Amino acid sequence: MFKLIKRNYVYNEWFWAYVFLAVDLAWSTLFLFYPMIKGVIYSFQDIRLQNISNPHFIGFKNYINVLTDPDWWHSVKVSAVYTLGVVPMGIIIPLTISLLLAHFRRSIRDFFKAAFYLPGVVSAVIMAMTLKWIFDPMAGFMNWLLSLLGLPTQLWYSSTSEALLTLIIMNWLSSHGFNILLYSAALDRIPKSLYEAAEIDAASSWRRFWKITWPLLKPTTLYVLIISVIGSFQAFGGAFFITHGGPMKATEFLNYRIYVTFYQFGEYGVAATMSVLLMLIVIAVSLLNFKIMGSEVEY
Amino acid sequence: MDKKEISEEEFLKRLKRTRLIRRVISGIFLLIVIIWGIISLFPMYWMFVSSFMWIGPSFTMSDIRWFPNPPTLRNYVDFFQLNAPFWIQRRPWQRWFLNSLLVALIPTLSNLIFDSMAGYSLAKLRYPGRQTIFWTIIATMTVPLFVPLIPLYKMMFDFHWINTYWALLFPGFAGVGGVFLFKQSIQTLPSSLIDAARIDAAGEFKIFWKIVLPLSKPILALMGITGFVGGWNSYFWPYLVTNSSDMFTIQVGLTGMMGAGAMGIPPGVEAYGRSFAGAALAAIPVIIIFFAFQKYFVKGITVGAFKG
Repeated sequence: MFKLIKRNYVYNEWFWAYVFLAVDLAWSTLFLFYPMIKGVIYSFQDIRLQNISNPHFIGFKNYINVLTDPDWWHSVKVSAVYTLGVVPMGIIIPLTISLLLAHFRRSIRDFFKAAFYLPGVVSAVIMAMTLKWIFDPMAGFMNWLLSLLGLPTQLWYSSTSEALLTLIIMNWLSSHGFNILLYSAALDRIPKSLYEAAEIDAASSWRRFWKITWPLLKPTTLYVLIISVIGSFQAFGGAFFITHGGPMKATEFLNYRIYVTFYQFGEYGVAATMSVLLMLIVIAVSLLNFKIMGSEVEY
Repeated sequence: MDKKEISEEEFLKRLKRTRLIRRVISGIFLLIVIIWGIISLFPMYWMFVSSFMWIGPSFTMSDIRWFPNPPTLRNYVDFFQLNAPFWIQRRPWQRWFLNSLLVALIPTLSNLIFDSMAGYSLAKLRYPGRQTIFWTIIATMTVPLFVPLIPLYKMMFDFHWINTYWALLFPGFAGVGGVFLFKQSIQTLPSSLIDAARIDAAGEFKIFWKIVLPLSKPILALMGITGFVGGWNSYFWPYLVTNSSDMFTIQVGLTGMMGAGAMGIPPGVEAYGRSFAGAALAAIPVIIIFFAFQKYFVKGITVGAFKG
């Protein structure tokens, strides 16, 4: 008797579990999982806007074409340089700011946290537009400031040699609000007793940072590192809104190259191949980060 | 023992000096934080200021002021095309804002319903396939945007959905991003409550509706607010699937006004003025939402980060 009830009850739970999942699962299957698999299939197909009705399989030909294309490797380099330029500052600035903020009263801290986070809620379109205007080579605020200080004005994003650096600087200057909040929350979680113990031992604040704060922040740093590496390898907005990948392909990020190949040239198969390769790069770099940073981290 | 060797006067002097040093250090800290605050808020300031600054075709560096002198509403007049000649086709800005509102509201509401249901299922119910589904969701969150995007775009063509509200609203109706956060949050609710209700023979749907949802108000608010802001700010999908001006959202409209994403010649400096007027109007709703619901934004960051 009891067994029967129990079995019915379990059945009931399964049934309802799938009922609750149903809509989400159906939607994700149709608009996410299926297109993802299809994207991988595209990468083995000759599929273009011109032959959209009869795509056919061509094996690894897309991969060979992409991997032997110097423009592809140029884009890999651009994205890698951008990542190397952006990620360290994306850790140093938020960490410094949140360490400084930790010295102040709660009300002051909350005020500044809000101020740092505010630019993050404004859309990427508006932010890019404003930064483009600030760095305008002819009538921009940045050049005006430089000339006020008696420094030579710059061509910023319209010069081949400075364009990528300009996008990197824009990233340094734009909001680090998200990471500041992450680090501040992590600092709040460090037990005060650890610092009191260090104070009794008369440890210098330098030592206290490296022996207590930094090791305890490591999970946060790993998280920030992986998220920002994944994000900056897939940088897109700067090229899309400001430089159009130029001048002379100087800022042609991987994602921008994929966008142009897909949307402007209609080469769906080649673009899909590039996105699959980008996915492999991102996974490889993330695993590398885990290997370097993750060995000492405990969750 | 050392304390005995210095006089009370000397001790007070030293105490005063340490206090002074502390005060100077925290003053320096405050200064650094303020300077960085000004730097990171400056773009927003400049966006609003530029919307009141007349930027003509011959605008140069020498016309730049910290504050527009005199401030003008000309950019706003230009954005709304209030004094454009009658034969010029009007920019359908009302439609842009309406479309943005729809894109921000409808998928967010449906996501709240369906993602919380899925999150509850993954957090509190036991059934075969649960772990597989959960890890599939986690794995898909790391796949680059363009992998599913290209076939999805073609799918919109095959469905004849390009340039319709179907393409704008339908694919985002339910998704995986919210499921993860709902699962993490609902997991922290005590299971004893749910078991107690089950003993009282409450139906599974009633348990979800009467117990789980009321206890999940904070995460519902968080997902609602960030979903709205995210939808309002989204530009790339609306940009891909619309091609006539009256289907644009405000973000796509601004993208077009700036000549971004296109291969043609970008517009000159005179495009900035009217674009910033539109940008200021598009930014105000999210800024108001941010100040009204500040604590939810702060909370949102710590929900998903460390419990994975």
